[in-house]
Amino acid sequence: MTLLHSSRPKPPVPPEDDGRIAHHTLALTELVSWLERKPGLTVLDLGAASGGNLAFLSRYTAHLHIADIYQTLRNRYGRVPVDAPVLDRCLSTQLPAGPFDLVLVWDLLNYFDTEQLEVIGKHLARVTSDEALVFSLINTRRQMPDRPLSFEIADDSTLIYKGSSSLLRPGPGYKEPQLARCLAEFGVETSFLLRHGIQEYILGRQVEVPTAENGDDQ
Amino acid sequence: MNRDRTGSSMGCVIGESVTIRGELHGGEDVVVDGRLEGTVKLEANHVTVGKSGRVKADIYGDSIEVEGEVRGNLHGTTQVVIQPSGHVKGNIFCPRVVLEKGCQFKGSIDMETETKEPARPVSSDKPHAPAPAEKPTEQKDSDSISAVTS
Repeated sequence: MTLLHSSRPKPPVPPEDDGRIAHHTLALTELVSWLERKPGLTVLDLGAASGGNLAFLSRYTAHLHIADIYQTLRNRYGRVPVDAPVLDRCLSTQLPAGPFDLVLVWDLLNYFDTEQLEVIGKHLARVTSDEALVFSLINTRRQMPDRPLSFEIADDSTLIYKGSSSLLRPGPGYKEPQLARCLAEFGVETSFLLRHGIQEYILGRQVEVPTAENGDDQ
Repeated sequence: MNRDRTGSSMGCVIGESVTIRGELHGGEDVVVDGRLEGTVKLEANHVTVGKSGRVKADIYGDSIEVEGEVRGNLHGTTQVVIQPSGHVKGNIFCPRVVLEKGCQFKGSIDMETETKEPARPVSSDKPHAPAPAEKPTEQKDSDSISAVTS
């Protein structure tokens, strides 16, 4: 497991129109490098549909599934988060079996408690391949937007953040140990703490390889 | 109400007050402004689901444009476009897919046109076959948000 923290100084990216703000991304650059080495992968996007993301990802994959989990939960139950058992049932029906090689979780994990994260982790493990990666953005500040942002990949080093609400709510500020505990079948491959308080994580599937010792009766 | 949305010859328009249940097939472009349930098979033609169109069907077309609502799979030969007002819940099978800003889409996008299988249903496990050979890709650097893989 490699953990890299970077506060590499970069010139601020000017905000765009309609509340869209462009931020540099380091994890995406890593992911793109990985994608270039492994063409033909399948991608699961848990965020909202984005033409820009589709255009970008189509360079590397011909198979993309868009799930828009947060909006699905809101439409179905009228609120988010929902109780863990409800979330479990919802994800059982909403996520196709895959297996997917890359999951774009974006900032979704910030909006669920640890019990719900365990449910999400279980389902991510169910629908991903043994070498899958998960891209997640964790808010490290005390306040965060009231609901998940939408993200659009501008290029391999720039992500455009767009919020649909100006309201704020307390952020859970998950740290790596909490993520590792909740997403038990994934480990942190790389993380980057960015200047605007977002910590980008690339998590990798950790599949236990059975050994002779494991098979022995103790 | 006749319109020429494609810039080509006038096609058939299913008006807002019309409801069709069953299979729709033929040899001319179609605009669906009404309700349609069943299957649309116009593989050689342009299919438009207008803003007031409500379609619960799998659509097969040469090109498909959605401004209204579709629940079903879209099988396009050349291009599928979901306009900003479009709302699609289903899978798209087409080598070129365009999601315009503001559209709502939920489902799978398969740009390998040889494969006509939708996403597999939810089930248990996995092991994953090796990734298929790389698809040739092409990407425009303009503001266009289209995806091209052939």
